[in-house]
Amino acid sequence: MDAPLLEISALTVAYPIGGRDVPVIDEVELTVRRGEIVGVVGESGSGKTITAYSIVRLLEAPGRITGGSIRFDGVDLAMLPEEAMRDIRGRRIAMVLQDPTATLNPVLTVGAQMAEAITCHAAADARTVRERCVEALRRVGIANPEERLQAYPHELSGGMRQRVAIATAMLNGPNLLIADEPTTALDVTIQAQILHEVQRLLEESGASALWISHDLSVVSSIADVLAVMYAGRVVEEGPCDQVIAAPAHPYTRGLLDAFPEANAHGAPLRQIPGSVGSPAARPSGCSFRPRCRRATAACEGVPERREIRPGQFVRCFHPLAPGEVA
Amino acid sequence: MTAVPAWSSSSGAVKPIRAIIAASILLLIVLAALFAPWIAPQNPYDMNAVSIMDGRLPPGSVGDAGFTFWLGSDDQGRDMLSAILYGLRVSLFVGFAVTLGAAVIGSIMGLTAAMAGGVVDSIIMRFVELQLSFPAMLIALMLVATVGSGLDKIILAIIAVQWAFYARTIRSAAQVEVRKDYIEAARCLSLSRWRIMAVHLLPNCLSVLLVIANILMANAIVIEATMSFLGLGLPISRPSLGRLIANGFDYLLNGAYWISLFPGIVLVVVIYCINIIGDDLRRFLNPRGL
Amino acid sequence: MILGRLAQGVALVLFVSFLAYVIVYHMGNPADVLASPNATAEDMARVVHDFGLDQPFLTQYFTFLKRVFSGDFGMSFIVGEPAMSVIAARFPATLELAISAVFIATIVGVPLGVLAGAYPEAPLSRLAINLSILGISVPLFWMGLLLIMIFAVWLGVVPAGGRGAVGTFLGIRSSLFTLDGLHHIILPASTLAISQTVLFFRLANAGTREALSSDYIKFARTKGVGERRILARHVLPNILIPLVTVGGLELGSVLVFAAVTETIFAWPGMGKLMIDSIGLLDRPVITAYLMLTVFIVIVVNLAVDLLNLWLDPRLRTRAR
Repeated sequence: MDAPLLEISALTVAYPIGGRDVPVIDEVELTVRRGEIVGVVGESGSGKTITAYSIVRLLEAPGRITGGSIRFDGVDLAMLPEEAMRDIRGRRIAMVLQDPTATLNPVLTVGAQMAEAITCHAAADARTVRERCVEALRRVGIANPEERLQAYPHELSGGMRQRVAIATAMLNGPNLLIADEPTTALDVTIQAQILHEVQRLLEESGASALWISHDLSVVSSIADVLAVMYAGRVVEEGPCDQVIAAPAHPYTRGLLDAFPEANAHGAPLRQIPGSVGSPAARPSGCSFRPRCRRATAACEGVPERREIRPGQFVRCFHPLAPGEVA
Repeated sequence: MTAVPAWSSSSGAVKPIRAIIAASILLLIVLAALFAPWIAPQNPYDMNAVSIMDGRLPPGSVGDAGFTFWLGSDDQGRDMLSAILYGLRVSLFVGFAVTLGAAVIGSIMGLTAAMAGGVVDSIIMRFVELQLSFPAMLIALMLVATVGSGLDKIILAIIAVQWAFYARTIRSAAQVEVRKDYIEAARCLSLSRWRIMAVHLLPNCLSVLLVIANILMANAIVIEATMSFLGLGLPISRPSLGRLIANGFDYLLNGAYWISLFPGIVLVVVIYCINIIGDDLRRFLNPRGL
Repeated sequence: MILGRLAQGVALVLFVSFLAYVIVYHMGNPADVLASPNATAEDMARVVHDFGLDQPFLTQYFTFLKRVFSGDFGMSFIVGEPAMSVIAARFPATLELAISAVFIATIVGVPLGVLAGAYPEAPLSRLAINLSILGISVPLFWMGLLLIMIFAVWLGVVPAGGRGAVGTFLGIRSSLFTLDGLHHIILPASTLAISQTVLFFRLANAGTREALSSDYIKFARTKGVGERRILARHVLPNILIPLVTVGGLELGSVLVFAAVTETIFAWPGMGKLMIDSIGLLDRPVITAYLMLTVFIVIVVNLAVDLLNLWLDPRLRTRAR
C-alpha cells in the first residue's frame, strides 16, 4: 500500500490561558492518502481550522504545537526550519480560505497576486507566468481570463474571487490542497458549481485535498474519507459512505439526524442538546459526555481511538452499531 | 472567523496600572489647583505680597522678608510655586470648561444629525466639515484676534473649534445605533425625540464620547497654552501655565531658567497623564482600533 | 468626485471671504480698522469714500470680492506695502519649514510605525509607542524651547534661530540648498515635525497591525510569500491610504503650527508675520493670510483626493 501523503499523529496545539497551556486540539489523528479527498466536519470551535493552519505552520501566536507530528511525504513538518516550510507552502501544500472578500488584497490586481504565487518560489519570465495564470483561470471556468488578470478584486463577484483563489492555489501543482470552508460564504448555486469544478481539478491533477466544513451535506458530496471533529478531537474517521450509512459515534449520528430531511414531516426537529463550550472549560474524559444520551461512568476517561469496523475509527466507549439510533 | 480563539491574549492586553498611576497624579494636581488659594504660600497676584526686590531668585533661596521661594521667583518677584498653582487653576478650568461646552454642543448637533437624517443632517455636516477642513489653531487665533482676549472669550473660541470633532464622532456612533432595533421600538412607543436621544442613544455613544473628550481636553489645554505663549491668550493678571512659560522665555537661555521650566514641566505632566488615561481607556473600550 | 471637491472648495472660499469681509468691514468701526491708527478726521473721511464704506452691504461685499480675487487686500498698516506682497515675500521660508517637517515625519514615522506594527513585542516598539504619547503631550512651543536649550545652548551644535543662507537650484531660491541653510533649518523643522511624526507612527502602527491580521495576508503566507515581501508589497500600499488622507489633512495644522515654530526660532516666515499682525491688528494682512490659507487648504485637499484615487483602486470604480 502506498505511504500516505499526509499523516497527522497525536497532534496537540495549546494556547496559554490564565497562565497554563490549554489544549485546543488534542491528540488529533488524520491521514490523507494520495489522490484522496478527506472531509473534516465539525461545528465552530471544534478545532478544524486550527488543525489546518497547524499543517502549514501558520498558527497565530501565542498558540503553538505542543505535541505530535505532521508527516508530509515522510517529512515531519513540525520540525522543519521556517525557510523549508516556506518552500512547501504554495508549492506542495496550498490553501484556500473561507471569505473570498477578504482573501485577496484590494490594492493589487488579480494578476499580480497570482503571479506572486509563482515568482516567490522560482524565477520565471513574465510571459510564462502570464500564460500559466491565464491557463489556471481558464481551468476554473473563468471566461476572458486575460482581462480578469488586470482586474482588481472588488470588481469580481464572490464566486469569481473564490475561483481565483482556487486557481492561485493550484498554480504550482500542489500535492495537497487544504480548503477551509471555501464555499460557506457563497450562494448555494455557486457552491455547487465550485464543488464540481474543484472535484474535476483534483481528479485531473491527482492531488489530494483536505476539505473542511461545518456543512455535512457539502462535505459528503465530495469526500472519499470523512473525519468528524468535536471539541478538539477527531471522534470518528472512515470511508465517507460507510460513516454516513453506519455512524459509530453518537455525535455523528446527531449531525446526520439534525438534517431537516431526516425528520418525519410534522415531527419536532431533532437536535443535539447543549453546546460545545470553550476549550478552557472542557469536561474531563470524553468531551461529548455532557450532551450524550449514552454516557455512563466509564465516559469519565478519555476514549482511545479504536478501529471498530474495517477502515472506520472511533473514539467512544459506547459506539453505535450499524442502524442503531442514538 | 479567525483561527485564533477569542480568549488568547495578544500584545494589546490592557494593563491599567499606568492609567491608575496617571489618574492618581492627575487627581493630586487637580486637588492642588482647587485648593490653591489655601495651600499656596503666597498669592502672587496680590500686589502687596510681591516685592520686585525678590525678583529672579533661584529655587530654594530666601527672600527679603524671610519667605522661601521653593521653585524660585520670576522677574517681578512672584513665587513660582504659587504662580504655578494659580496657573494650574486657570489652565485646568479652561480645559474642563471647553470640554464640557464643546461636548454638549457637539453631542446635541451630532445626535440631532443622526436622528433627523436628510436635509438637517446634510446642513449640519456641511458646517462640521467646513470647520474641520480648517486647522483648529487658525480658527482659534482668528476668533481671538477679532473678539479680543479674556478668559471667557478664549473658552468660547476653543469651544467653537472643538465642537465639530464631537459632532462628527457622535454622529457616526449614533448612526450605527439608530439603525438598531431598540431605537425602532422606542419610536413605536411614540417617545419624544429628545427622550430617545437623551435616554437611549446617548448612553450607548458614551464610550466613544469619553475617549474623544479625553483627547480633546488635552488638546484644549495645549491650544490655550500655545495662544497664551504667543501673547494672544489670557492676560498677565490671570495667567495660565502657558503665559507663565511665555514670561520666562527670555530668561531661558541665559540664567533664570526656572521661570519657564517649572511651569513647563507641570504642564507636560498634566497633559501626559490625561493622554495616558485616554490611551488606556481607548484600548480598553476598543482593542482593535487606533 | 473631483467636481464635488472643487465645488466644496469654491463654497469654502466664498464662505471664508464672507467671514473675512464681515470681520474687517463690519466689526467695530471699519474706517478705524482700514485707516491707519494715526489718521486725522480728513483721512478718515477719505478712507470712508475710497473704500465705499457708505455703500450698501452687498455692494461692498462684491467690491471686496473683486479686490480679493485680483490679489488686492489693501495696504499693511505696519509696513505700508500691499498686504499680499508682504506675505508672499515670506511665504518661501514657511514653505521650506513645512516641507522639511513633513519629510522628516514621513521618513521617521512611517518605517518605525510599520516595524512596530509587525514586531509589537520588540523592546524598541514598546519604547516607540510610549514615546509617541509623550510626543503629543508636550506642547510645540515647549518642545522647541527645550530643544534649543539642549542642542543650541548646551551642546552648541546648531544655531538657536534664524534662517540660513539661501541658494539657488533649478531657478528656485531656498535655504535648503545650502549647507548653512540646512544647519539652520534642522532644529525648527524637527520640532515642527514631532506631532506629525507621532501621527504617522500611530497610523502606520495601527494600519500594519490591522493588515497583518487580515485574511489576505494569511492567504499570501499560504502561497509561500516571505515576510519582507509581505510588508513591502501587501502591507505598505494598504496603509498608505489612511496615511495620505489623514496626513494630507493635517498639513493645514503644520502650516499653522509653523507660526509657533517661527516665533521661537526667529524664523522669518509668514506665520510669525501672522502672529505679529494679529497682535498689532493689521487687518489687511490678516485677511490676506486667511484667504491664502484657505487656498492652500483647498489645494492640499484636492491633491489628497487625487493621490487617493491613485492609491486605492476601489475608489476608481465609484468615481466612474
